[in-house]
This record gives sequence, structure tokens and C-alpha cells, in this order.
Amino acid sequence: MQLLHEIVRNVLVIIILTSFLELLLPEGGIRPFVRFAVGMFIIIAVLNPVLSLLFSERELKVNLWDYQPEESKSEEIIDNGQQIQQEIIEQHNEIAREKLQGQIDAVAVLVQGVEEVKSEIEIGQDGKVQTVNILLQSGRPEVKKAKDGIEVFSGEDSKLSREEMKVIEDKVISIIGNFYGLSTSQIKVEFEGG
Amino acid sequence: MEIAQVIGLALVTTILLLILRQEKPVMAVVLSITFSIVIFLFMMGKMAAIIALMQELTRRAQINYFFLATILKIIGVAYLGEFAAAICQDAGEHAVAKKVEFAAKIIIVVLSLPIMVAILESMMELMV
Repeated sequence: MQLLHEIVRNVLVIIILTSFLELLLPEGGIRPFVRFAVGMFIIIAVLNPVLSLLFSERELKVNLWDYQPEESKSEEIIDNGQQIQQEIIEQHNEIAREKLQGQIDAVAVLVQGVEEVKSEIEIGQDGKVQTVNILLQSGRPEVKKAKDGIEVFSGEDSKLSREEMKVIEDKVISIIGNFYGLSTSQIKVEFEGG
Repeated sequence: MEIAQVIGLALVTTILLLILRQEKPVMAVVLSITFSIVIFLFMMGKMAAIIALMQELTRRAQINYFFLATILKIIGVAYLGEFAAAICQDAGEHAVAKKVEFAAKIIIVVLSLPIMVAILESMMELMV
């Protein structure tokens, strides 16, 4: 009974609505076409509740037009979508971080006096580089002069002075900063063993 | 009184059009188009109110807004087609006007196709 009441009420609203729409129709040769479309609108609007009532077990195409997803379900879908998106972003950030670390290592090792580089990059939520921590292993090969003036590399590294370390640090900061568009405050350089 | 404004504008435009049609027919067409656009923009606010009311009615009747949106699109296409065809006829280009009407009719049929297909398929389903 409740359902029937709803159907009658809806049909009344549809009739009023379409009568109102009829007033809006333009004059001229296009009018019959628009009336045809409005007529179909009335049919579908009336047919929808009637068919749902009589043939509730059948999957009718008309009912599909009236399909409205449940709000809770749609929220769940949106949440899942956001979670997946977050995971994708994190994976991408991780890959980008690893590649960038490799690149920075390769670039920093080109600076004279640098032997080994280990870099750590922090990437923010927006995917931008926050800080770059570079650990340098520096040293220059010790040169021993032979008697006849020939220079012999002993294979052992001699320690760099503070000034030399400062020069290397500045060079590395400058190169990495320029390469990746980072400010000097974002790059921290440390030497292995202090 | 908005209707007074519309009537005043229409009368002035008509007089100007009568003069311009003799002297400069091209300018008369431009004036006609301008008048159409001005009236259209003038009525935009009212149309928005009508559409809002219809949306509210469809929501209360629990009709999917898709239907009403399609019907409103169809009415919009029909009005624009009529306006354009009238302008073309005013300019003496009856052939162009007919083509505009033809295009509007086709677009209306295409827009109403999904509704028609849904009804027909449901009917077929019931007959099985």
C-alpha cells in the first residue's frame, strides 16, 4: 500500500513536471521532436515504478536508469581508491628516491678528492626532495717520489686537511644543488670518520 | 518591470533593424544576433531558477536526474536551433536555416535515443 501510494504521488509529480516542460517547448519545426522526447520521458518515469513493482525479480533496462548506488558503498569505493592511489604514490616515490640516490652518488664521485659516496634522500608527500644527506669518503693517493724523479702511488690514502675538506664539501653542494635545483640548506655533507 | 525593459529593447531594435535593412543589411544581421544574445543573457537567471525548481521536483519524485538533464538538454538544443534558424531566415538565408533545423532535429533524436532504447529493451524483456 505504501509503495502504491509512493507510485501515485510520483506519477502526479511527473505529470505536473512534464506539463511545465511542455510550456517551455519552442515553436516551429523542432517542436514535435522535443514533444516526442518529453513523451518518452513520461513513459520511462511512469514505467519505472510500475515495472519495479510487478517484475521485481527481473533485471530490466529501465530500472538501470534509476540505479542509485548506496552512499556508504560509494564512500567505501572512494576510500579504497584513495588508498590505492596513496600506495602508487609511495611506490613511485621510492623508485624515484633510489634512482636519484644513484645519480647523486655518480655525480658526487666526480668531484676531485672524493672516493666513495653514500647519499640518503628524503622525499616529501608532494614528491619533492626535502633533504639530501651525503656521506663522503675522501682522500688523495699518497705519492712517494723515487730518486730519479718518478712519482710512485703507494695505494694508501693520506688524510685531507680541513680546508681541503671544506673545498670538497662546497663543490659537492654546489654541483648537486645546481643539478637538481636544490637550495644549499637542503644538502648536508659529512665526511666518513669525521 | 523586466517585461517593459524587454519590450523597450525589442521596439528600439525593430526600428533600428527597419532602418538598417534598407541601408546596411549586414549590420542589421549583426544587430539581430546581438539582440538575441542580450535577451538570452537577460533570461539566464530566470532559467536557472526554473531548472532549480525542476531539480527539486525530480528529487522529491525520486526520478533519476539523468532523465530531466536529457530533457533539458533537448529543450536547450531546440531553442538554440530555433534562434539560429530565425536569425538565418531574417538574413534571407532560408537554406542555411533549414540546415540548422535539421542539425537540431538530429541532435535531439540522438539525445533521446538512450531513453528509447531502454524502453524498447524492457518491453522486449517483458514479452519473453
